[in-house]
Amino acid sequence: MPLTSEQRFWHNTANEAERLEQRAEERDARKRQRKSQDNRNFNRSLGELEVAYNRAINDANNTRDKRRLKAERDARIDSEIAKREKANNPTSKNTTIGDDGTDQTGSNPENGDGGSGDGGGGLPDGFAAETLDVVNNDNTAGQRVFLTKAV
Amino acid sequence: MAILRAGPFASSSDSFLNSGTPVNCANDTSSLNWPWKYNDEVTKSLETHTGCETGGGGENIPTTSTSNTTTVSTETATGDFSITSSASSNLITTMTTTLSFYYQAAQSFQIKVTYNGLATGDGTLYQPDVMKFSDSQSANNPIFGFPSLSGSVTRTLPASVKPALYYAQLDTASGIDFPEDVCSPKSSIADTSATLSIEFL
Repeated sequence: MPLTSEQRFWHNTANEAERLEQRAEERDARKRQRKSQDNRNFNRSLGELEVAYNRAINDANNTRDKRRLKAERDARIDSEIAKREKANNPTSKNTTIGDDGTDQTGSNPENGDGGSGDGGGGLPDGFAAETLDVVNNDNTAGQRVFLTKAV
Repeated sequence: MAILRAGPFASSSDSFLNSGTPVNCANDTSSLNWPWKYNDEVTKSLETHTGCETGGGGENIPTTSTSNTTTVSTETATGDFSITSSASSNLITTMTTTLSFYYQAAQSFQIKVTYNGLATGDGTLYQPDVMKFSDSQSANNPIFGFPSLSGSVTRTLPASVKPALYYAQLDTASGIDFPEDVCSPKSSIADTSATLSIEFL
């Protein structure tokens, strides 16, 4: 029996999804490889820098020069590490639109402007909190907070 | 379950008014958010002997004037409270003194109402109208007395979600005869006074 147009559609869709998934995996693998290579290159350059400084320290004739070179070596290494960390993470977490952190925006329950209704303390959408007078069970005057909504 | 406040004023047909008779929280007179209020209403009707005029037969006929006034004020109670009123004329004085309020209550509560009415005048004092005490629980069974009327009643006000009215009313009256010389109004007076007190039990 020949495939119907609907069956063909779902067949092609499944193939396309599989192809896209495979491409994504390949892209991730290349990313991981590139990152790993970058790390190796960075560590190698740091190592070469340290070796060069160590050689200079050994060649120094006096203690003062040795101390200065050691301090300069450590400062250079710290600086290179800091620059790389900054390049990998240009800004602090959760401060850019592209971050994948939690969205901090939303309603303000204190303003009575509604909320997500997820039980997190906000008001249900469209409702406002109003404090109204009541007669308590013991005949004393009291107040209760009511959720109200215009209809 | 708590009862949502109505008012602040009500009538027999509307529980949510901005004026009229105040709605209270049972017998709780201590709340600042919901002050306990009542209406104090006094109606006075005075007939005054002003002099005389000559009739068709040449006789002197006394002349009179009448005055009718009603004052209503809304007062705040912070506990037991009372009102006193009085009126006088040189002929006939009648007066109605009323305390009234609406209440909402989750359970019944009791009040004690004390009334004192008095009519005074000269030796010709008479009762131009009935003197009686009545309230919203005894409208058809008032208590009469003249020239004095005093006593107290204890009332149980039942629980009510909807504003329920309570009133206490004291009618007093005093009258004296015209003088023998109807052209010379008396300097003596027909006086009446009334006091209504409410105590929360």
